[in-house]
Amino acid sequence: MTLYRAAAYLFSLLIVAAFAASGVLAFHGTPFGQNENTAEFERPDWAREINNHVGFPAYRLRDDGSSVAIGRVVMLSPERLRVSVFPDVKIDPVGQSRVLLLETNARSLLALVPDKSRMEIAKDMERVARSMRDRFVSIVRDPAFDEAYRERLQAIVIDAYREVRADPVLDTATDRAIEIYRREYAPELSNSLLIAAIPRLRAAALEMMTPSWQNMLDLLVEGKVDYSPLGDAAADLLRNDEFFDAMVIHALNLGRDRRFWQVSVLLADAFIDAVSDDPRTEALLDDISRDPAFHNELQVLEREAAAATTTIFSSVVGRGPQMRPDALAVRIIRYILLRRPHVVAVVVPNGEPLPSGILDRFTPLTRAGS
Amino acid sequence: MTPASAAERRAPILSVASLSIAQPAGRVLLHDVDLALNAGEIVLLAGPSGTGKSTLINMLSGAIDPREEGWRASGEISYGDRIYDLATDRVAIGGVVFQNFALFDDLSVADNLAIARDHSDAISPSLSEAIDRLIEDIDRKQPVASASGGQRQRVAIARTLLGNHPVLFLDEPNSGLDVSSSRQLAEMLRALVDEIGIPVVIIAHHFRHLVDVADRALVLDSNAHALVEVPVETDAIETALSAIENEQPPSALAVAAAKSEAAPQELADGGPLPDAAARWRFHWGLRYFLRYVWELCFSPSALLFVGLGCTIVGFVTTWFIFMYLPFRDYLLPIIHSDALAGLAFSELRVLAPLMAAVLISVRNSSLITASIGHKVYSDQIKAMRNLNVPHRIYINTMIMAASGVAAIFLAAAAVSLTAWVAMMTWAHIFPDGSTYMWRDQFFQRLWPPGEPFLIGWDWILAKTIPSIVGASAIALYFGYRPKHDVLDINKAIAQSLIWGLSFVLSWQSILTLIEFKRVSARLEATF
Repeated sequence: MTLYRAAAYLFSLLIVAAFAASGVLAFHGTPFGQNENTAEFERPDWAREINNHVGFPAYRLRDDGSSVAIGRVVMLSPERLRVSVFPDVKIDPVGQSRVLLLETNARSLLALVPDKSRMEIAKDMERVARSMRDRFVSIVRDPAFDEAYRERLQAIVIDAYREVRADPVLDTATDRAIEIYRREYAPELSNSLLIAAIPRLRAAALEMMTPSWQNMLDLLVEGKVDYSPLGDAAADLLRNDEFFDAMVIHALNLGRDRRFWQVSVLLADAFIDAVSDDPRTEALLDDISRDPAFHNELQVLEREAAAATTTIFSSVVGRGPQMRPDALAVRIIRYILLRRPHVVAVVVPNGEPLPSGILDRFTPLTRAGS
Repeated sequence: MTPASAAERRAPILSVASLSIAQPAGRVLLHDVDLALNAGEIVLLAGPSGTGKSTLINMLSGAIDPREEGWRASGEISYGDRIYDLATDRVAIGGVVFQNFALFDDLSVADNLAIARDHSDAISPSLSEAIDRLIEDIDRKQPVASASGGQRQRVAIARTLLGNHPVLFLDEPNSGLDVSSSRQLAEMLRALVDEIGIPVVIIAHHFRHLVDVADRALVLDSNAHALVEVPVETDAIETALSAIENEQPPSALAVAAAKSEAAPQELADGGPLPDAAARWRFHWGLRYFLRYVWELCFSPSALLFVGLGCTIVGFVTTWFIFMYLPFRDYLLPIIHSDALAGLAFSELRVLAPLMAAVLISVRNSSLITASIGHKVYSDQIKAMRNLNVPHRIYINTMIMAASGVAAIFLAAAAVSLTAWVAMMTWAHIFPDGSTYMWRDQFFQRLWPPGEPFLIGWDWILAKTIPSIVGASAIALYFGYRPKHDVLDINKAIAQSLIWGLSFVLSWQSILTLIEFKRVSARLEATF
């Protein structure tokens, strides 16, 4: 064998070894020992039906609320799951950390929003809601609406409500939600909303009940009751900023409660499905949108809603000073849109403060066997 | 083949009767020729250029197979008690020492002799001794390219003798030799023939020094397409050649036609004729296979080609996607995971196999066509046929097998290196990112946990193996086409590159489209 041939063999051997090493590093990672940072936890009841053989991502949150992927969650059994941190991520043992398992839904999405952004979102939502309220009141109080659409809308809503209530599962869920509401939120309602609302509602009721010749005639001859004083009262309440602020806060508090959230989502879905499945709905909306009487109101509403949607979306997914979209928030939105049951884990090393106060509402997973 | 005793000398050992040969194009070279060859004689065969002298010995040595290449031949060869029909049988009665020696230049002197010996019947000890003496001063370990012209000629003669044929043909053996060397050659041939006792037919334009050792002289009359025997004298041969060039009829040559003398004589037993069917030997097959595996797959240039190509693919695609993304800061967090999964598919399932197939096909096509073209041009393929060395197995089959090995190995290497380069490029762009997270997202759809292999490995092989093996087959086709000069080799290389590359690109395109069609539904479901 010539020296040249020997050198060629050696050179080829080195290149083949380089190929092999590149394959190992790319497909497997370094073959040299790295500390395995994994721990097993008890799987929450609500997550027992969620399975994915690939596993789910695990994140860590930075101070500004932005996320960084640090590992995976693998469902081992209906009772257990394992959280593994990537070997090259330097973090305290995951077994000594708090691990929060989040379902990919709007609640988790909002829960991950940093406090500062959440305040911005509340302001934006309030601004949009005020605008919508003003437009809504303006439309509803318009004689044109009263004349052409009110009864059609009432019929759709009442039928949808009856359909929802006719479902025994939903009915039970509704009763449960109402019970929760009565037990835990009714005092808040009385303290905040009703104080402002009751005087105005009482006046409306008196006005409705006070007999007049025309009212008596309608009641006795046509069996009709004039509910317009109540409608006027509701519109006035909606225009009352103090009442409105209290209502938004009350709604947000309700939204943070997982039990109420689940029932609300269930009911809202069923109600919206019933309304949207009703063929009268499309015709009604079509007529309203084409009605020249409401053209200006709807145009303003559309413009403000579009602007607010962009701002709110940016606040929900944006993190850091540049408000760049966050990978975790985007992932949650994606799975919401795909309607696929999915979870993500957030690992909070022991000793670190929870990056967002609202994360306190999620219970850390319990170590398996502990 | 055994050395003839003095009593057996001059006894005919084979005869050729009614031999006619026509080229594939239809031109008749010989018509109804008879020829007898006696043991231990040296026959000088002269004739104008292009009249078919070389064709005659190629036909009688089995280097041209009339059944395969469009040649038309008829006539009978009688050897011992057997008669062979030249129209249907490939009969290798003669071993040929080609004008350019046709030594296998990829083998050493010893291996040139060994391959001939391993594919022929056992030779007698006396012939073995004669061969040893013929090349005793030559270093057998050296590559044939290192030997001098005279040494190479003697190696070629020795190799041909190891083929154990009843007749030895020498095609222009003194071409390019000076007077002294030409005389030495003539004396060496005379001594060799006297020792081994087989007939030797020498084709020569420069016959002046060979006349002294020749027993008979034949002139190929291109006008009458006949062999004419003339006295073994320089003047007589030159007169006959002059007459042929002046298109005088053969009768004017005043010589006896070979046909009249050859036919009636009874043949002596010349021993068994070599088996015309080539037999392959495992160790030679393995040796050729390893050689081609090395050249087509594991040689540094092949590996570097693939390595550099895949480095470009892995780097450019990753860098482009993550650095030149429109609205990068805002889109990147949104698409990062899916972008990595998409990159994995495009890099590992499409671009890396394509790059490997294109680079290796181009490289190997040029190598194969150049190598085979050279073997055809330098008569090495004819020499292999003449020596009963199965070139279709040793060269064609082994090249195809080595190409298959190259396709599998280099596809795996391409995929591995591309993935690693992509990972390193990503790590450079995102220095804070975990490479394990890259792996998690890059392989999320292509190699999810629980899968034993990369999903779609069968598609990678389905694209790569036929591409590279098919390009090799195309290169073999162009390599084996007739080569009349070096330009033909260059032309064949260009043709094999064009057709090979066209085939590779077409195959990859078609399969990639089918692959996209098949996997798109499944991939969409995973997003």
